[in-house]
Amino acid sequence: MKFRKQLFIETAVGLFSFAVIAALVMLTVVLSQETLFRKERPVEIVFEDAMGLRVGDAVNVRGVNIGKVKDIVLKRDGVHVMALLNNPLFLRDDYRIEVLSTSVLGGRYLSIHEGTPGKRPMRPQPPILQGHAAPDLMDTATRTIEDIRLALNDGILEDLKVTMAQVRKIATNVGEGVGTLGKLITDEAVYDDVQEITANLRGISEKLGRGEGTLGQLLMGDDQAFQDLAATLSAFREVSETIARGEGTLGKLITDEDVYDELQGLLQEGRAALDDIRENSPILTFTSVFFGVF
Amino acid sequence: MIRFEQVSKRFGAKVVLREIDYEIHRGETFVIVGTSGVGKSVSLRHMIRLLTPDSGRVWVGDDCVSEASGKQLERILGRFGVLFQGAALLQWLNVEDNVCLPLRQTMNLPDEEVRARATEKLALVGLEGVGDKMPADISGGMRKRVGLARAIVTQPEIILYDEPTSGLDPVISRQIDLLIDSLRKQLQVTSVVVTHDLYSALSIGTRVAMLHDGQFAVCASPEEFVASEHPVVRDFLQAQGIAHLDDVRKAFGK
Amino acid sequence: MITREPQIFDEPTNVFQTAGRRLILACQGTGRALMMLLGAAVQTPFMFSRKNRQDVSQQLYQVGIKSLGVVSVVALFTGMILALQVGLELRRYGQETNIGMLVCISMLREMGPFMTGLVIAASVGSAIAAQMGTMTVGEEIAALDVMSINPLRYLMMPRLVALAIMMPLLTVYTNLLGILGGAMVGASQLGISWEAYFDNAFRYAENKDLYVGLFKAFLFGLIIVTVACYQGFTASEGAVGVGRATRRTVIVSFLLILIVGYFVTRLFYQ
Repeated sequence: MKFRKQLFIETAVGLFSFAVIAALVMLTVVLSQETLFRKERPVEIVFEDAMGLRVGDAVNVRGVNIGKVKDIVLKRDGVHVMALLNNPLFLRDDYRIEVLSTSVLGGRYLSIHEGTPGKRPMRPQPPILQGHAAPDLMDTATRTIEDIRLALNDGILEDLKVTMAQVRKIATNVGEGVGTLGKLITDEAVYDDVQEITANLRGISEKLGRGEGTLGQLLMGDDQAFQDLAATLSAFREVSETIARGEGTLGKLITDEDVYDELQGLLQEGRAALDDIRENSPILTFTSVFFGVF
Repeated sequence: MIRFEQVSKRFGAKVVLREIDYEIHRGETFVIVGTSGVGKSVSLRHMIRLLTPDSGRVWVGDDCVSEASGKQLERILGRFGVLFQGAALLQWLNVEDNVCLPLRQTMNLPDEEVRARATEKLALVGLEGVGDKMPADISGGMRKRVGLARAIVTQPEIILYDEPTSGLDPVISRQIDLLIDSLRKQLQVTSVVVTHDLYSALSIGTRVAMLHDGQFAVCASPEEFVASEHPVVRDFLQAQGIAHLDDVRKAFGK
Repeated sequence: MITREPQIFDEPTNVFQTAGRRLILACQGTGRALMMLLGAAVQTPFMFSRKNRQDVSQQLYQVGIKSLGVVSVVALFTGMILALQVGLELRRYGQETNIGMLVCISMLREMGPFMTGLVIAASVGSAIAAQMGTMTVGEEIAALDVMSINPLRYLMMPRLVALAIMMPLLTVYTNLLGILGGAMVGASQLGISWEAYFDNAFRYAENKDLYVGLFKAFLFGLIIVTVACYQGFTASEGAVGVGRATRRTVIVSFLLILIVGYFVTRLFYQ
């Protein structure tokens, strides 16, 4: 009875130990990234900059995972990355190997582009492959924004500034009852122009409002321009709305011939400026989204 | 055989032994009596090095137990068999294994002989056929007897009994007393008994010593002890209703 | 001899005396506990001897097999909680596929040995302390001492062997179950396939993570057995003392497991 119990205890302990040790061995094999039953092909690639690649990161060929980074060694001629691949590589002369980001938040992988399908395959394959530095996502983004800012400072901003100053002048005149606005009402084309410009300006101003000072930040270089724009927009909206409603004593305004001409010319100019802004609006949108993150 | 030489011991402010001097001779049954907490067990524990004296020495034969260590201490302790107050059996071993324990752990004997010896000692203390029982399943008196069997299984020269009858009913107590007496006769051992039960002290002791205030108030044969005029001894005797040694003998049916 | 006579001190007269005495006693206790560990460790060559092998296998069974149930539950849920918490957070960044790596590495490096240590300290450690404490209070340890049976060899060594062997083994088991628990949560709650989970899990973990974790578990085993036996062998004052020894064992083992765990991590992952 006692002997049997002892026997049971020893068997249980032994069984458990063997099971766990077996699991340990398997775990060790798995963790050492050894593949016992598959042939692995080592590849050595030299980079100027490993860009934060880590041991264990994936190796992809055209988006398909074919292996892992086994080791990274810093040598005099660069960073040597040893990778183990499950599939053979068929490289062509214009092959390209890069370290790419898996996401904006980090994580890297080794991307192998084997080359243009039509080209002659490399044979024999060189013992050490050449890796290329890939553009960093953050770097690219920063550069793009810098470009946008330069463009704005160069031409568009200046255009906008001039136009707005002139538009304001007219708007103020109109508001004060000077000029021949009566003509505006009779002239269908001019009326439409005003409507369109107003709509455009309103659209932009609303975008500005939503962007929470995003464009404002870009325009910081010239405070005056921004204020001009804002003031003009409100004045313009007021007038256009009055006109649209068809009320008020606009008859008073129908006196001055010169004002009419001036206004018409300036409206055209204003439209051109707005079109400029509209063309660039994808950049603006991107910028506002980008800065919205911060 | 065992000699206390100017042994003093105190626990904090409490002096338990005060320059005590005595010798226990070979083959005698030396009984130490006294009220609770007077230091009876303390003196017993000095003999087996569970306590060391603050000053003075304890000798066992020619060895100073209070200064021995290592192999020498092991050799000295090997001469002792000790019955602890609560028998101190290992709860996860059955009765037989408990008795076999010292043989198995300290000697390299074949298992059959170990078992034979254990059975023999169990028979000696009147426990046959309980070898398979666990300590928790037997009565307190039986446990004491198992403890005694374990104490004598290594064939010691000296047996120490720490309160062998405490917590047992009078009938069982008398059985234990008779057992101690018969063991002394059969095994020719020196016994040291610590008890507060004067009946057992006077019936089994060849010498009875009354410990009081860190000193022996009286240390004499049972006859002389009963006749002692020492006030502490008289109080003690009176408290247990003993006026004459015949009272004790009557209780034992001698 | 393990049995010591009680140390009785005069009442301290001021704060400095109290503090000083505490400090000295703490040093004394630590020293004694380490001496016990050493004393039991030098007895380990006897683990296969006729006198001890039965106790050793008994303790291996007690520590290893009897703890499997609670260890399983703790391990599985540790992995599941890790996966869920981290997974929900990572999902906000669309990175929930990485929970495999996170669960695997944190189980191997820290949570596996740590949770196993806590479970074993609370179950086996407290049981050892209670048993040794009861034996000390019941003079059974003294009886062993007098019978020239070294309690360090007869009682502590089998427990030391059992914990030193079983802690790493149980940790392997905990690791596996924890990773499995993470996979279950990944598959059911986060929509990550088993293949993707395990591929991610074993891609970044290294053997170093596994074996440093097992080394930790081994140390935790030594800590638990040393603290438990020390507390047990020094218990006094009857049942109250046994309770105190048990409580202290759990507290001190927990603290030491945390502290030692941190320093081992620092040692290997600078």
